[in-house]
This record gives sequence, C-alpha cells and structure tokens, in this order.
Amino acid sequence: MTTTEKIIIESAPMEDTPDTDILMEVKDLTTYFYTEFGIVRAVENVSFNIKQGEFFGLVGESGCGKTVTALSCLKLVRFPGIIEDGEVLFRGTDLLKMRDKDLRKIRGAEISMIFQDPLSSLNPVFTVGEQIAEVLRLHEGLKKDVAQERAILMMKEVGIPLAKERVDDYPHQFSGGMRQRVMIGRALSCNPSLLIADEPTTALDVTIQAQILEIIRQLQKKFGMSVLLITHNLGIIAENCHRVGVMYGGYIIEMASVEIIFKDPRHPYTQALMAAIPRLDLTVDQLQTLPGSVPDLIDPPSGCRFHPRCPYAREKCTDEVPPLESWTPDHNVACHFHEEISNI
Amino acid sequence: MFSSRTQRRKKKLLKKLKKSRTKKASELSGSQLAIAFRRFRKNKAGLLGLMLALIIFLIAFFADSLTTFPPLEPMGLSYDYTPYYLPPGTVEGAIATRDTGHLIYYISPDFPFQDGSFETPDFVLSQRWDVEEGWEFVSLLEGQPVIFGWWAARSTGEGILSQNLSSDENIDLLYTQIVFQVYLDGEEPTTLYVFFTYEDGTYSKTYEFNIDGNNTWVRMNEYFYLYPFNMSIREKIRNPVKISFYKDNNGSDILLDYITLYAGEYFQNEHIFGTNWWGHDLYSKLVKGSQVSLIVSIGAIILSLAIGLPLGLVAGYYRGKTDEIIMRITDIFLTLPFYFVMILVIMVLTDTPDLDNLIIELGITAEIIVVAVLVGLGIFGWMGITRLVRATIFQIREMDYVEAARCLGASNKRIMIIHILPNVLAPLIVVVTFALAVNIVAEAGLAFLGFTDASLSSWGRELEDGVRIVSVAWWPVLFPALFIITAVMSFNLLGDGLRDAFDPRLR
Repeated sequence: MTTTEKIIIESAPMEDTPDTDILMEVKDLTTYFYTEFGIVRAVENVSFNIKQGEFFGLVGESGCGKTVTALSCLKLVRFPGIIEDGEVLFRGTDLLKMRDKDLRKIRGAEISMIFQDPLSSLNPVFTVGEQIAEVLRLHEGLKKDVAQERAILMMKEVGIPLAKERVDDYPHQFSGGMRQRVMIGRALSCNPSLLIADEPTTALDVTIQAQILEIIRQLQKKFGMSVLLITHNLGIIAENCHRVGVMYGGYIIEMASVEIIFKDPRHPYTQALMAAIPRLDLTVDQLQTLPGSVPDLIDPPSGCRFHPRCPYAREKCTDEVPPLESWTPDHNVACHFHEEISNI
Repeated sequence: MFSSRTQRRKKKLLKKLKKSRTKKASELSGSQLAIAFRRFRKNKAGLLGLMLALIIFLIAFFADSLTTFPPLEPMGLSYDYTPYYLPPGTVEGAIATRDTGHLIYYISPDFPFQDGSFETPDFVLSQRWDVEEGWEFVSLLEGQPVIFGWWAARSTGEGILSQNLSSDENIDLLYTQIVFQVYLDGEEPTTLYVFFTYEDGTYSKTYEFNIDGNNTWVRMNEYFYLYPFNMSIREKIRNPVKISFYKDNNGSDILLDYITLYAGEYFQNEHIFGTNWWGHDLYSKLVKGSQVSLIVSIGAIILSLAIGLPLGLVAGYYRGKTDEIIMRITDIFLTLPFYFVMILVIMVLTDTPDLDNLIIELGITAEIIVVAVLVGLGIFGWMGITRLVRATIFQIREMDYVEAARCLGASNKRIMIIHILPNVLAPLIVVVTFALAVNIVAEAGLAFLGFTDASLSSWGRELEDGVRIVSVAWWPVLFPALFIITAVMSFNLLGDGLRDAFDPRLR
C-alpha cells in the first residue's frame, strides 16, 4: 500500500465532523493592486469562514487571487497592494483594524503561514534550529537554549530524522521535502490555532507531497488547529479538506463541503473543472476543456467574470455580478442561473 | 609492463577521486561564510593578499617597537641646519629624548655643527625611555632662575629633572626642549629673552622669542643644546646650566607658568631605507606612517559604513519615497568633486585663527588635518555602500524567507537587522576591502598635495617629501611608493579572493 492510498482511506473527510465554532470569518474582503498598468482587482468581496479544527481549502487556477486572499487575512499585502474593504474576524476581533504591534503577536503565534517554495523560504545564513527557535523566542520569550531544545522537539514532531544532529545544519544541507518540514515545524512551533498553507506541496514531487500533507494532517489532529489550504490541485483538496471554496477571477464562486463540490457542483466553472479531471472509472478519448482563458484582472469582464467562457451565459450575466447565494445550507454558489443549470 | 602502467594510472586516478570526493563532502557543510572561507583558502592570490594585509596591520600595530629611530621630526631647528639625505645602510648616532616620540637631533659625522667637533660618546644605552616618564612640569616663581644639569640633577634633587635622572648614570643631558606658556596680561607685544649660563660662567648663550601681546597664552617649542658635543661627562657634572628668563635684555623679570625639559640619550642605528630630505630615518617614518595611513583609511570606512549601511538598508527595505530621497542625496554627493572639496575644507581649517586658538585650548595638538581627511574620506565614501546595500536588498526582500519572517510575527526592524543584514554581509565585505585600498590611495594623494599634518608622517607625505629630491636621491621616493603599492595590492588581492569565494556562480 502506498502512502497516497493510505491517506485516501484514512482521510474520509466527513467522518470526523469538526467543531462548529467559527475561528476566523472573512467578510467582503477586497484587495486591489495599484500598478502602472492599471488597478488589478485581485480579490473582490471574498467571504468565507473557517471553523475550529477545520481543513478549509481554497482552490482555483493561478492568478485567481488565492494567495492574495491569504496574505490579506494577515494584513501582509504590501504596496502597491491595498486592502480596500472587508473584515477579517479572528476570534471576534478584526485583524485588519489592529495595530501592527498587536498584529505581530498574532502572526506566527495564533496564525501561521507556510509557503510554496521551501527552497527560498528559509534564510540561508541561519541554521534551521536557530530559525525555529527564533519564533519561540519572539513569541514565548524563551531563552536561547530552551528554545533550541524546543526546536529539536519540533523537528522530531515533523519527522526529521536525527533531529538532534541536524539542528545545527543550514537550509542548503536539507532536501526540499525536509525544508518544507522545517517550515512546518517553524510555523507550528508556537501551537497556532490556524495554519495557512499556501500551496505547500507545489514545489515538491508526488511522494514528498503526500508525506508533507500527511504531517500537516497529523499535526492538525494532534494540536486541534484549523488549516486554510491553498492549492490548485483538486486531488489534494479531495484528500484533505472538509470544506472548499472555489475561486475564479478574484471571486469565490462556489463554496461547499468537499463531497458536494466533487459530486454535485453547481457553478458552470466548477462543473467544467470537474469534467476536466481524468477519471479512472471512465474511458474517454479527450478530456473536456474550457474555451478561453483566465480573465485579465486589470480590465475584468463586466458582471460575472466567468461569462465570456460560460456556456450558459445570458444577458444578465454581463450586467450584474452574481452574489454568493446559499443553495443549500452547506452550499453557496455565485451564479444567476444556478437553479436552472442544476436542472439541466 | 603495460598492465603495471595502467595499474599505476588507475591508482593515481583513484587517489585523485578520493581527494576530490572528501573535499566536496566537507564543502557542503557549514554556513555560507564557512563555505566561503573554505573556498578562499584555496585561492592563492587571495591568501597572499591576506598575508600582506596582515603584515601591514602588524607593522602598524607594533610600529612603536619596530622603529629604529624616533620617527617624529624635530621642530624649531631653523638655526644651524642644512638638509642632508643619507643613502640606505648608513649608520648614524642620535639623541633621543626621554619622550621617545621626540627626537632632538641627530649626531652624524657630517652634522652641520658650527664648531665642527664631534666625538662618539663612549656610552650607549641599552634601553630607551618610556613615554610615560616624558613630561616634567615645574612651576617657576617670578624672577627665579632655574638651575639644572647633570650635577644639579644628581646631587641636590632641586631643580627640574632630579626625580628621574638621579639614579641613571647614562643620561646624557645634551639637549633640552623648553615649552613654556607666558601670561602677559594683555600687554603689548614683547620679546622674551632666555639666558643659558654655566655655573662657572664659562658658557653663555641667549635666545630671544617674540611674543605677540594679543595672545595671552603662548606655547613655544624650542630646542636648546646645553653642552658642546665634545664635552665629557665629568665636565658636564662640573657645569650645571642655569636658565633665566627675562622680559628684556636688561634682566627684568617675567612670570613663567611652567617649563618642560627633556633629557636626551644617545644611541646608534642603521638607516635601513636611508633618510629623507630632512634627515629623518625613512624606515621609521614609514613604519610609523602606516598607522596614520591605516587609521585614516579604516576610520573612513567605518564612518562610510555607519552612514551608508543604514541608509542603504532603509532605502532598499522601504522603497518608494524614502528610497527616492536617499538616492537623490547619494547622487548629489556623487557629483561633488572629492579633491576640491577636501582642499577647500582643509584650507579653511588651517586658515582660521579662531580655530587655532580653539585647538590649543581644547588640547588637540596637530592631528586636526588628519581627522579632517578621515572624516572627508568617510563622508565621500558611503555612496557606493548605500547603492550596493540597496541593490542587494532589492533582491533579498523579494525572497520568501523575508515574507516568512513577517508571517511569523517579526517586526520591520527585526527583519532588516536579523534577516536581511547578514545576507548583505558577503558583498559588503568585498566592497569594504576594495574601499580600503581606495582610501589608502586617496589619503596618500591628499598627503602628496600637502594636505597632511606637519607632525605626523604618512606614506603619501613621505612620498611628497621624496619627490622634491628625486633628482639626487632615489630612496625617499621608492620606499614610500613600495609601501603604498604593497598595501593597495594586498587589499585588492584580498578583495578579489573574497569576491571569488562569495560568488555563488563559481560555487
């Protein structure tokens, strides 16, 4: 049995129902980038929430605003990016209105983030031990040697063999997978309640991907934290997440539990996505493709941003932006005609 | 036969492979700096540069014990003085004062002494005097003549040099320097007369000093010789010298605040590099001068770093308007012509009489120009550092680890100093090494133009002295030039080696 199979069997996302307490709620988040070429409307009116202990996935193609959404949540968008509007309520307090000083206490301690490229997200001039210990010293005020001990424990936790010997090694002496483990250890060292994982496995090969996700899942269960997983890989979503938000052109266009997204998608884009997945149980000559390309966010299409590529598009789609409506209590869709589409 | 040859080849190859493999394995471990140093160790030119640089630093550090002659020039020797330059290898005797920093005068066979008589003393000191024992301050009462000399010093303990001279038989009080301050209480310009007489009245000499009445405090350095060179110790002992100060020739009194006297000692040494136009030992002056050259260039770099590094960090990190402002300031500084500004500043500094008084009052002696050169080099040397740091940070701040640090709750200050700064260090080290060489040349250039201190020697200054007599003597030009070339070359080689070691493309 390979690791991947094991994960699929073990995961069964809906079995352990997460706590219903809402940990973080994002409301109408809007982030624009003011570039020389025009205003890039990267994120528009994005709303979603993450419950306690939940694995929430954000999926979408590149450039649809996933990463900017995550960065906006931590107020990490840098100029020319500006958070125009919205609220990010973390345990009831708005992160976007916090002072920088208070926000720094939350970053890393309460909300941590790991990045896509483990090769460049560790500082080459410090040992991995120092880098994990730094977070502990910063947030928990630990002394150097105590922090170093904790760093070794954390490295063991994320499955780095010979942690005691390797704690004084530099990042370039680690492989990509090991570096990502170090990053995870670094992010989780202060026991945060939310981990934002921004495409944590994109730069890794498939077997390492599975191992890394396994570690994240194990630690998530162990520490009871929530995870916001950003990816463009539907397989990863299927294996790990409880709920999923599908993003397109800066909007969340559909949000539902994993099962619904995969079995009963309502938005034409999600449907097209699902149709484009190669399936083992069907023999097809050619996978379905979606005509057109990703919208230009500087000059986005009017109304629904998907309408130039949508097979069901009508006049209303070019005029009005469809709101993210509740279709069933657990299923939100942003399409004017989702009821009709579902009937087709 | 054939097989044994292949066997040998194989063995050789295997040995090579083994060596290279172990090298590679060791190269992988350690930090960026450790790897760079390991790479640097293989660079022969870089090592040579490092070695030469270390030697130069050691020379500068131990300059005081390396000098064979007191390197500072005598002052106030305008009378009975003719220039002479001795070729390398000449042995010469000299009188050193108790303050090792001060030389009274050389004694040499062609010493331009008026009576022409010279006799090598039959005593040579094994050790020199410590600097700490140098100054003696004695306050004098109005009108009271000071008697001092061998006898006075030995027997009575009265007078001036009694304490330190009493026990040492080898002291040869040939010359003395007298520094005094005269308080004139706002009187008209006047003349001060100083009389030297032996107790038995056989020798007498008078010196005059013109004192400007506008300056209430007067500092004067004059060198006197108390005994002729051919006088034996016994005669000296028999003839203590009396010095009296008078306001005029007729013997009216003057109030004297203090008088400083130096005792001299005799020693003999070889001029390794010969002497310069003034008759100073070139080797000693160059060794001592390395201190000035290095202090000026290193101090200037430290100043440049102190200005350029924070500016570069801030400009590179915050970008936008901050960056714009800082870079425009940098541009403005880059447009200023260094030499002209420096010449202007030094001319203003040296031509301001109020400043002279201020310097005297503050007790700063003559190093003001050297300090000005240091500060000038520092202020004109930071632009390159700022630009480099800014450009490097532009690259580094886009790295994910900076974002990661921010995500983990590090403040801007922390990110700048702890996460970004160490990554700038490698290119910075290289630039600083090159700047060191540039500063040495710039200092030498300014000194060559004459913008240096009268009492301090530096390589550039010696070169300037040498150029004046290059038609008759080659050594005063060659040796300072060699020092400058060696220093600049060593720092450049070192910089090259470091750059190769840090360059990731060669890794």
